[in-house]
Amino acid sequence: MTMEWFKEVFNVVMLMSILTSAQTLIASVGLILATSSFISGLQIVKGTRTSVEGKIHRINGVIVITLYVILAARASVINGITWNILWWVLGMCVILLKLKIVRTKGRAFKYVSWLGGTLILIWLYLVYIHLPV
Amino acid sequence: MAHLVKIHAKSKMRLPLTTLFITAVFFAAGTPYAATLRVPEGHKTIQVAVDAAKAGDVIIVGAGAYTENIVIKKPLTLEAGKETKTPPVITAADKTKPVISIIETHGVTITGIAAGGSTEAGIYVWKSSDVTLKGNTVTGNMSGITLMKSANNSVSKNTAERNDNYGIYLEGSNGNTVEKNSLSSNYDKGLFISNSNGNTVAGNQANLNTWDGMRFWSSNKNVIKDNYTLRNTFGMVLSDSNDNELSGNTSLPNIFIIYPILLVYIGIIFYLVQKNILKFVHKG
Repeated sequence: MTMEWFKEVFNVVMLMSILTSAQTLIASVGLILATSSFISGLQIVKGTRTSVEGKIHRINGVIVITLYVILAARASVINGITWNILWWVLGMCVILLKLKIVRTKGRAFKYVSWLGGTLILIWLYLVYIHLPV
Repeated sequence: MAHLVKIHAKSKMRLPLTTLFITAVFFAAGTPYAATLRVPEGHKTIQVAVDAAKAGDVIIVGAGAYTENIVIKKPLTLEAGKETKTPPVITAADKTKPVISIIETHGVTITGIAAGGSTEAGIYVWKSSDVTLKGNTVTGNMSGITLMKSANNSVSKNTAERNDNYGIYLEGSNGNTVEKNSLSSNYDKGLFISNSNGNTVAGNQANLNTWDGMRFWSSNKNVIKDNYTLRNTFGMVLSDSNDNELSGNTSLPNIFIIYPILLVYIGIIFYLVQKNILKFVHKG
């Protein structure tokens, strides 16, 4: 029964070309890591930080930003330099703004979880647009 | 004297040979053969080439944009030039008429053409048979390819996308073969077969259509096999239809929404796994 279920799931994954489309794969991994990073970030903001939360947040965050840059670069190579690149730049601005607020820890720090939520939404959108037909 | 006899004998030999040669030339001239007409080099527009062509001729259309409504009423071949990577794009001059109409004829072949911008159809076949439509791209029409009261035609490897109604539409058409077409992202149905019997629908992809991937209405004895209908509102719908043979078809619902939610769920699990692994490592 379990094997059959896994086979069905695998067939669905293959039908959606998730494993054969590099962009879909990168976007999917990005959303998984961004979610993990977001939860650990929330723990840090709430003050219920354990010793490992910071590490999870930082490691996943760095990988997620790298994946974002790879996706943006691939899109630029495949589609050429179009106005769409502005959206990629805007997304990067949100990431950098969040980093800036976290590092300065000023008055805007109370909004950092909202910015983290925005980053999750960005990744949801990236997965959505990269789903192949 | 002997010399004169020799000359006479030679001329006697030549006579049948000459007759044979003249007869061969005469018959060769009378034999129908396929001429090749080129657009835009030989003829300015495709319709001019179609009008100038005789039955069985081949019209090769070079890359570029054409604004025409083409009407074909004789057997001929219309194909894209092989030297170009991009297909010739034909847009309807009169939007209320099909881009290409094949009317009451047989043996027409259309390959590698892109047709769009009609509120009727990209390629419209009316009361015709033995028509082959292969490797064409029909987008932005009311229907991509329409077969009306036409029998024994072949529609294969075409791309019919983003049409207002249907990718491919068969009405009162029997014994046709519709195979290996891509019928995706149409704003109603990918394939609509109505009042049509004994057709073979095989190996088509009808994905992401707004309503049905494939709908068979009042159509009997069709062979429907190895088709994919993914992420439509309804995958494959058969109504008022009998004795159809279905095998090896695959349907999946629209998982646009489900998939990202699944990824978020995996992300939460991944966080818990990471946390426990790191805790274990730190303890060690």
